[in-house]
Amino acid sequence: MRCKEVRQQLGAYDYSTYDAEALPQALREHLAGCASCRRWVSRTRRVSEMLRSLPTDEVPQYFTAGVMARLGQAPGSVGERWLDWLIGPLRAPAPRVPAYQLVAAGCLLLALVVGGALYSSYSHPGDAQHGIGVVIADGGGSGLAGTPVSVGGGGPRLRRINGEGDRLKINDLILRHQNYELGKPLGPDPAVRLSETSY
Amino acid sequence: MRSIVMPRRLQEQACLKAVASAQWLGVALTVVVLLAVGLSPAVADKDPYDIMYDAIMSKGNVNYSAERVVHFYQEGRRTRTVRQRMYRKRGDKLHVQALEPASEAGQLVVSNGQWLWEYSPQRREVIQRQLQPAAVRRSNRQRSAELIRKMLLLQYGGRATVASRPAHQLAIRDESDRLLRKCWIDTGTNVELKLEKHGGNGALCMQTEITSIDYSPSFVAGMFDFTVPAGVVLKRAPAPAKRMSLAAAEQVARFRAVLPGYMPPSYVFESDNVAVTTYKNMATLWLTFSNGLDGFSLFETRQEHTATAAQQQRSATQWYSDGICFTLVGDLTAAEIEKLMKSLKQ
Repeated sequence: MRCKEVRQQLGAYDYSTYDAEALPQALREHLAGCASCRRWVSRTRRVSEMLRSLPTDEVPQYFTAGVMARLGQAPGSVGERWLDWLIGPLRAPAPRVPAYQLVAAGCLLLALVVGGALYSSYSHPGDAQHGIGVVIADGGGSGLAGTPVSVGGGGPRLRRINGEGDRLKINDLILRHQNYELGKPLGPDPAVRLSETSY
Repeated sequence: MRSIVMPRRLQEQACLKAVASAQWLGVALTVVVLLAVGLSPAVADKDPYDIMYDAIMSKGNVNYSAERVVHFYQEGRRTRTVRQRMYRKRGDKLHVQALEPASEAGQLVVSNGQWLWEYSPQRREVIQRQLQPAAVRRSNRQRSAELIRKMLLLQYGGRATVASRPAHQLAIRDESDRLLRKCWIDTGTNVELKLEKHGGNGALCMQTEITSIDYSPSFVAGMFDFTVPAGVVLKRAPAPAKRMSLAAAEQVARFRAVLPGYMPPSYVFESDNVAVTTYKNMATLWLTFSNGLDGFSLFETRQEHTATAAQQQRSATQWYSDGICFTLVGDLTAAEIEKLMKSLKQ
């Protein structure tokens, strides 16, 4: 079998229950001898896994009614279809969304926009320039002592470091991460890491 | 007395039979030798994934004492070398002492299989870590081996000799063909004799090599336990966290995780291995990402936009965005950190 045919067939598989042993013999034989296709399968499975880990959106309560209401409607002109898309929920005989809910949502949105604008206008002048603040801490004896560092061109800047308490709390997270990494194989063991950090 | 002499014809026949037998024996021996020579590469060329799996699962389960050197590199140049004396005993017992250079002499790492101590006489401090139970450690090793098999490319590089021991050579790359590790595994004991770690740009950053090894070591009583010397500060690392699914962790923490849209090559999100911890007394989601060999952690805490302070150990990147404080901990390049940061948008 050619790689193209193999990948066409494998593209239709449900990778949540993928079992290499259950594949047809022709596919198994091809994969056994083709590292490129094996790599392709590996990447596809990874993408599938990542997609499955994404949160799913909830379907709105009016969704079914809206879909059923649209069935059987003859498509109108381009202008009608555009208008329908723009204000369809309010034009329908049985509105897809109750009007009071729409008004409430609109008020909330307006309040958030206005409130956010007011809040950001009261922020520290330095903050106004940057959407996010970044602190980068690296190993070393004397620490960063206020040295500004940019991440990416024109990106956020470091702040002066203050507070022994916050340093210790970040240390706590680092220790947790190191603990977790203790079990990783074929990597620097604790004796190597101790030597690395003592320099 | 008349001697019994075989007739000449019979003598000739006997000789011919003897010669024929010798010829067949020679042919048989040649075939056996050829088979042995022909098969030996096939036996030596084990599946690299099997070699890797055996090496991972044998770690902490083989007794030996050894001397090793550790070289550190920066931008391709060797910057520092440390010589260490190691003792390993079945059950993840460990005793490693730095011998040279003088500036690091006396540094000690000791484990009794339940606790691990990292002692630096120069800093006058010791970090004490609680290890996972043996069954969990084994399970984690298997998980790592499975992930390596799934996400990384292993290449067998033939045999070599390290510390007078025959070793399998392996090279491990990620899916972007970046070299991550080279390792030399003892063919008899599956002990990792030599290891090269390559950084984000593929350059060599660290090498460990055992220079002599003894698989019948003598252990001194108490060498796998540690008593904190007087005047030394004891720092206790947090205990291992309970792991759960992402959904369960989000329920405990009462907020949804923000997952990065970008993932470094061959890394996966360990969605069934999430923990909930605290940071600044606030519930914090602890997400881990790994390729089986290396990993990074992303801690997420609901926190308003405030000024923060940096830390002075290892590399940690902390930022806040849209009401969440993100703390990224791990050995990543600046470019990868930036991509991850940009991809973490709600």
